[in-house]
Amino acid sequence: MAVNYNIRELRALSEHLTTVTGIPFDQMNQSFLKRRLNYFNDKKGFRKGEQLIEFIMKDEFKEEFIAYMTIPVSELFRDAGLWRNIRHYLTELAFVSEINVWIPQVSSGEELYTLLIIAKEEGIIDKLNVTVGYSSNYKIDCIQKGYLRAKRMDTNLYNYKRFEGKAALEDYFDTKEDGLYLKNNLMDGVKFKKGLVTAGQPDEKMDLVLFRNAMLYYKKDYQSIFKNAIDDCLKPGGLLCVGVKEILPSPFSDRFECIDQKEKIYKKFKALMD
Amino acid sequence: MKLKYKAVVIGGSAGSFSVVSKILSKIDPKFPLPIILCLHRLKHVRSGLVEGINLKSNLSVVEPNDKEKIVAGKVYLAPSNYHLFIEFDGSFSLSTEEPLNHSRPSIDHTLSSSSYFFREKMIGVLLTGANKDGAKGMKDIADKKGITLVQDPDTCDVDTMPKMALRMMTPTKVLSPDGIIDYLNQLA
Repeated sequence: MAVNYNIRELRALSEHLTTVTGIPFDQMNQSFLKRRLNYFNDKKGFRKGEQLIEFIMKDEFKEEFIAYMTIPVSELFRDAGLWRNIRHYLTELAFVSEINVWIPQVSSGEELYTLLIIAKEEGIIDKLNVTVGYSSNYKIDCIQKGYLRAKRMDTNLYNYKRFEGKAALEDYFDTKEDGLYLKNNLMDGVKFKKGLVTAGQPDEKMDLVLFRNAMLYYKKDYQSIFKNAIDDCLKPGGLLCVGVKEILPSPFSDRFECIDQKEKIYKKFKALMD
Repeated sequence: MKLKYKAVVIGGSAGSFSVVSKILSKIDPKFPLPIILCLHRLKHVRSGLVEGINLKSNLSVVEPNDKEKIVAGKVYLAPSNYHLFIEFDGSFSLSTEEPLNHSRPSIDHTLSSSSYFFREKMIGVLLTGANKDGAKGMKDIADKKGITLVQDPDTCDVDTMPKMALRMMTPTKVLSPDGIIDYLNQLA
């Protein structure tokens, strides 16, 4: 018989997980939490709730659990139209300054690799300073090595074609037995910082923040904490990209102008400069 | 007037566009419940489907944003490349979790999460389609004592999806598209 949490048990467990891991599980959507916990329990063959609690007491298993609860982006160049706009923005900006980019929560690498490939293609990779936040050591090792699962390559190639890339996507990767690896030199300007959004804020002000589809799994009220943290880090005139089905409601709509409704690209008002 | 049901949730795949269009073109313009659609669709084509369905629909059709509240009398279409769930507070939540039954959006996810929130106060409808997605979701609705309508396989372009559901559960009714329309309109 699988573990079946009721609401009260789910709330208590989420508070416990928050304490043990430092990740705000108690602020996640309850349906999401229940579903992922059920999947994880099934995967591990756990039949009692206590088994999960015992499991995450060991550090290496805790990391595995956190990794499982972090949802990957799953594709390179997902939403090709967005990436075309980002390409335009980066190339314009590179004429006048270095470019600071923050990806507050990386879970599988695709968003980061896509950004780096664009910068390489446009010859501006030396001007790019990327800060990447992460919550799971379990996954970050793979991302730092540039690992990409080969089985989704058809989708990646299709997206890249829609993006209207300038080269062959495969040229940016080395093929090894267990998958593809982004060429090492592309990662040179990337800093990795542990901590979920508020805990991993970069020291510098950012020109671009990529935070797409990461807030989906959190309660509406808690999303404001993420948005405030991003607002603090973004330069006036800087861009914030959220998922195409995420919105910035008031009060954020007063601080940002949506410059691309379809791709959900928001620009921080310059009038709010300190 | 207090309504017996809170929502209609419809799942469909291959061949379902024309059936959904027909249902929405004949639905009572004063239909009092929200209608939630989860249709298999190309994940890279984000526009076109909602506009196409809207053309003939008597009710306004939108793709919900994450955390959007569900409103009676509106039709909601699951966006491409996202799963669509009903959250415990009755709002929509979206997800980029792995595809289920090779599908994102997955009908099972939408139907199952709907059944958890609406329980016996919902109507689940499964239309024509080419894989097993939706069968488990329909069973979840039936287990919660909700109403389940399965399109008659004889009227389907591809009958795999309704047949898989019929193998897994006993629906309230097996109906033709016209029968589904009549059933829904008597709720108005």
